[in-house]
Amino acid sequence: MTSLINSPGSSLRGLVDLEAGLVSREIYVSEELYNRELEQVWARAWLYIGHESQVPNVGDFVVSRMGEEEVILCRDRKNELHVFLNTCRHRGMKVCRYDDGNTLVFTCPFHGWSYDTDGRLVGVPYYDVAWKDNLDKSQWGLPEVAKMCNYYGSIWATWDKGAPEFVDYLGPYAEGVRQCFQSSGGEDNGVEVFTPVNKWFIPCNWKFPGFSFDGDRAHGAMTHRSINVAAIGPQGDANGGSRSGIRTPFPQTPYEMSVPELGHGGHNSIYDQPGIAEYADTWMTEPGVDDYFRAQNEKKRAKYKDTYIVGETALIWPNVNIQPHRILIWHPAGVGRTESWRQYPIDREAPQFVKDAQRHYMMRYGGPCGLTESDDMENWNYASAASFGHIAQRYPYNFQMGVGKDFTLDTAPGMTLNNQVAEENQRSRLKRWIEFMEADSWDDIYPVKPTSEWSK
Amino acid sequence: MAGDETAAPVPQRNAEVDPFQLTSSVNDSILIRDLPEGATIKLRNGDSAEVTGNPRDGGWLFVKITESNDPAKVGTDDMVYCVDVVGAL
Repeated sequence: MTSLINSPGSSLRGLVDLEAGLVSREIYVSEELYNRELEQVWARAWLYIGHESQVPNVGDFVVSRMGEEEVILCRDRKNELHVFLNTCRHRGMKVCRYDDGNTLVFTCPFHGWSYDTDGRLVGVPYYDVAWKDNLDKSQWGLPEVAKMCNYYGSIWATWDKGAPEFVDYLGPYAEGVRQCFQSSGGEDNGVEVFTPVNKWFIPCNWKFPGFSFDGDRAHGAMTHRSINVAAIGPQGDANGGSRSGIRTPFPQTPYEMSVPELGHGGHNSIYDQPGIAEYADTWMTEPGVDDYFRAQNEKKRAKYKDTYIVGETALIWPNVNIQPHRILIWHPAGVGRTESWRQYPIDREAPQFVKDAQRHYMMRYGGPCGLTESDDMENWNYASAASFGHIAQRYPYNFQMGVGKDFTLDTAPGMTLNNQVAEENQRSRLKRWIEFMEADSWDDIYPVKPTSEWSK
Repeated sequence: MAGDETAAPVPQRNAEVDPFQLTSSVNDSILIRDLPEGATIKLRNGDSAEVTGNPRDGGWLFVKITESNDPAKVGTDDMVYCVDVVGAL
């Protein structure tokens, strides 16, 4: 497969052939495509901003990102949340140079323009003597996102006013994402996130992690073999050790599941019976922690005893993976550079020793120093470097695993399923990527049903 | 050049209306940054005000006007920039 981007009559569909399962390396290394993504993907999609527990008080703020650009999530004097672009309207300087904090106003360090926490331009130096007849302050507030949604404590935003409502953007994953922000006892909006956020750069295109996470079950046995043996999980070496907690036996069938019309997908299961599995002791190395989680599990089992659970974790298109104890975000930072962010939710009402145990486990599991993610980074980084080569770009990637084997089930409305080891989810993300890259507006890429219609 | 009659005349500053005259002093920024709520300040236009909030950015203060030649301004909230503050009590 040769470069098609600059060829006459070429199209992105020539680079991504999903029926054949062939994808040009060019989509991971092309500066032109990366620049097109800035408008077509990042200025359009709903993006994860942060969690409301990061800004609990009036005046609290935290700097986040949407695509390449910094935004400020803050709580104004009326207790309302906002997301603003972190740039002064005068000459573009950052109006906030701290990662987080509490403030009355955001004052530009360049010429002193000052913005209230609701985004209004409230202070302009020398206004009366130099600006009054020229500047209408009401028109020069901080740029605010077109839409923002507080979804059970998680904050999402988009720059595109034509975007569907966030719950409809999630589609069949709306319930699963909701549950990821529940406490382990099943209380909605029941978590907080550890601070500060883990942040680090990795030398690969954002689509390497973004399009493979929660969609590449085949890599685990090879990539993470050494970590499985090392038994970094909270149970230590009980039951042979693992990198994860003990899985409770519960009648279920695992699949690769996705919503190709939306791009979301994850390693999910269809359960053969309603309810939540009985708790299995997991924290053998942390005395008392199992007692807490066992009690919480009883509450959640009572709440969901008649409910069939579908969904669970998911990669929410384009760049965030939501899990009950991890939120993984990959921000684009250049065609061959990604800024990884990690947040770790924990029950807000959990005792401190439980929070500490969870945090310690997450630190050795994920993030820049986490052993499991170190495995993943090696793959993405070297694969990226090896894909930039002139000769290498002649050879497409193979995404053929499970092509043509997809199916649907009445028990998983809206989902497309495939074998538990397949690349269905990755193909769904690539399909959505093409649609975003070619669309003129949301009218072209949201022909799907509102969430309430998915189960019909 | 001394004695050069062709040199351009030096512009004369009008201290009454020139708001820039204090910007050459770094001390005014430090003063502003550390002023506590409740402090009384004197403004360049002759007004007095009470500090009601300090973002500690060295530039701005939230104030309530306490004395003014314009009675309508007394009791109103405002933001003042560092160069308009001429003193603090």
